[in-house]
Amino acid sequence: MSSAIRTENLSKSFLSVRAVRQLNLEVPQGGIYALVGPNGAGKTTAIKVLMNILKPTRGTAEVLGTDSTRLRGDWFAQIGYVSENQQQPEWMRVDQFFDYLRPFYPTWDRQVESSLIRQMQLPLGRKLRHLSRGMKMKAALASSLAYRPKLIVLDEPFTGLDPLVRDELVESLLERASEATILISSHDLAEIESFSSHVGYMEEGRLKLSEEMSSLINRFRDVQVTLNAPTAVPAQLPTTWLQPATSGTTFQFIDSQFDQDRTRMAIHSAFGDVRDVTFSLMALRAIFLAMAKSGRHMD
Amino acid sequence: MSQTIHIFKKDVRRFSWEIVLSLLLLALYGWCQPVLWRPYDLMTLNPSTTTMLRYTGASSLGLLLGLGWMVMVVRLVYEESLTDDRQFWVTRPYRWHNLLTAKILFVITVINLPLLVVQLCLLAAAGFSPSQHFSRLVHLQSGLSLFLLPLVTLAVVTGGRRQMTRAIIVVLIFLVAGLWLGQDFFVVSVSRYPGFGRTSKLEWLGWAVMLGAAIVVIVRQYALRKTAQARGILLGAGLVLTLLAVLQPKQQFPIARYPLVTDRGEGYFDINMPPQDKPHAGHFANGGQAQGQRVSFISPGFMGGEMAEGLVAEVEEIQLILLAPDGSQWTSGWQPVSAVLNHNDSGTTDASGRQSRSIRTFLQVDGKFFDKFKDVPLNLQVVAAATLYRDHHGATIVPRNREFNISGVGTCAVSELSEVNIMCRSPLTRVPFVGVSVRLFKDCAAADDSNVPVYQSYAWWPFADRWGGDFGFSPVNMFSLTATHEVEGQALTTCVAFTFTIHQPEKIRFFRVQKEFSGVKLTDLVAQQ
Repeated sequence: MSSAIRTENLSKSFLSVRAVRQLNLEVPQGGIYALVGPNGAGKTTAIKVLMNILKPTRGTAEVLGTDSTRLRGDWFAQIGYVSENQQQPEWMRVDQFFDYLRPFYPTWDRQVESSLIRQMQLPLGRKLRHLSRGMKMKAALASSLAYRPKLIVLDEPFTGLDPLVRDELVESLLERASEATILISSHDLAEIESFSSHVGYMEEGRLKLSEEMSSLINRFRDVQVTLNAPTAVPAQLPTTWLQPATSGTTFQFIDSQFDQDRTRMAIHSAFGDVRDVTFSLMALRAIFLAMAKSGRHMD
Repeated sequence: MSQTIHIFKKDVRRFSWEIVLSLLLLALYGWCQPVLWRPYDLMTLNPSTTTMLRYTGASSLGLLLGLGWMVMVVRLVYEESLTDDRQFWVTRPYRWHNLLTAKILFVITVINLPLLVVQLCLLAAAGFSPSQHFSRLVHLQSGLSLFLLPLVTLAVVTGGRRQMTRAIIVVLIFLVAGLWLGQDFFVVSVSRYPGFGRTSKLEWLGWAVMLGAAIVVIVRQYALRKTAQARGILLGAGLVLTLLAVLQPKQQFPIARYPLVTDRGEGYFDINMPPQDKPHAGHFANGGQAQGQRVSFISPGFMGGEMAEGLVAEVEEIQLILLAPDGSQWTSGWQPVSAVLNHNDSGTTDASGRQSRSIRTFLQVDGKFFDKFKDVPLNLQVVAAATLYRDHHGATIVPRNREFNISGVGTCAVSELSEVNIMCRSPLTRVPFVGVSVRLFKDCAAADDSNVPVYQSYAWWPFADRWGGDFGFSPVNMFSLTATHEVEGQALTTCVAFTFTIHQPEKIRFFRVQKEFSGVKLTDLVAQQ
């Protein structure tokens, strides 16, 4: 089994609303897969289908080698799921919450639990309902990491958290990343860019892109061409050049299939000799903004 | 199993305050109940504050406990809501059968077992053997589960107060529709008329649909959490029940089983119209509306005659037919009444006799018929359907410590403050047709053989086979018998020692008698407000 999660043409509709459309997702084992996209893209619905909280309308999904619709009971001893809007038993104190969950998991590690509690500075004597949003997320995450799950699924875990708490959560998560596969959804690209190994981009229920983060970063460049003289932009440009724009002697575009030699040759073909060409690395946010604006398939 | 216990312990911790409150109320209920076993007048004449409190508790705590338990089981289900997709437990390693078992265990441990203990204590306190009635108590507990089942069913397909309220409204709509379409389909008949008390095949089917749908929905929801399907099943069950209500034939009084007895036949009794005590004002005369038609209300009263020696008649239903001079006719249909007629060997008229032999009913007359003939002398035919009994009475007994036993029924306590007031209690049994008579004397100054009784005052419990327990919580069924002291305007006495005769009549057969009156005016029968 090379994929922790694999979906085939997975669709989920609510009456006439098609929340997820023919999703073909593959999360490699041991990877940190960031599922990104704007609000309403279908990320949460897709994750709920994967966790068997919702039933798929069409298609199939496999999670840890099992049909997602068969995920129940003991299967969840290997999966840690944390969602931003999950309802916890708020009447419990933090220590009671851990005490309650512990017997459900044969692999629960008291040392990991203690370490997480210490690291996240969880107030054990306080009731969950009295915790701040950040503390609640920390408690939920700690309770989902203490049993060393094989798969960690986080649905918008950082929404509304201050940077400090977010960093603490990421730090705790990454400490366990070596022994688990992580699927994390977010609409904030900056927060997952630093640690994700793979990224998938969803929009209007469709997965528009799915690839390794390094490959994505490598194939996108912000290209700035300084021309010898103001020149009209040729009518035919490579389709991989996104958002082309000219300003005086400067021509700028985003190359979505960057290869230094090939890109230089393509520039030469389009403009002849140019005075200068600079290639700049792009942030994930800038890449997705360019993709969203151009509205093209990038894969 | 360990997961079941683990979830159960969590629920106990979650509802610890509610459990403590429930146990306190239950203990209070158990403490209050015995006050109901005393005769009424001991409670009502100069009661102590404690007695008043116990009486209030005894009559209200059952309802409070019932409502409290209903709320608790709904909250228990909502603790791991089966409809919400944001619940933490959905993605935790819960095994559905362990979760369901934990909830059942909670209900048994927190509701059934404490109630069973209180019921055993009440039986013992009432003077009955708890071990002898243990199996019936367990049966009573299953009745309690049936009482909670509808709410649990709604709780597994709803996710909060708002959804529950909507669900209850939907159920009420179905109930109203069922009652409207099938009249008494949803009401379990407790009448003991032949055929009436029996459950028809359609009724059995109805119960099977209700129970089956509830169990299927609960188990399916815990196993699969397919709420839309579960709601569909409930809706389908509701529609099937409504259909069964439509198909259910209306219950008719089986008059064919009650052959007419003439004035020379065994069991015949006379029916008389008593003189009007006071003129009736027509408060209701032009009053109501029923099923879209204007109706007027009449309340005719009759007095049953004396029975032949050794016979007792229980009048169950009467029918009135009014015949106008122009041939118009109005029929009341069979109306339930309750009166017991016995032989009066002293030949006097007593207040209790007037009370028990009174056959009074309350009827709706078609408004047009009433307006047309209200002042016209009419012919009135009265038919009374009754059960004839042979009066079996035992030897006279003198109560010890103001208590006496009725074999096969239970124990009765007596007081004589205002009248001969007898409060009887029976253990988890339906009370048969039973009566008590007491000998009354003019005075007790010469309590010797010369002081012969002047009157035998009777008190009957005619509601045979009817269950009197409150909400099914109390294992002690109660009924009261009242015999008057007053005979022909004179207050008599039972003297120092009550001397009772217990009557346990044996059923002979059903029969009916008929009497015609002429010159009856509707205005004389108008119901008083």
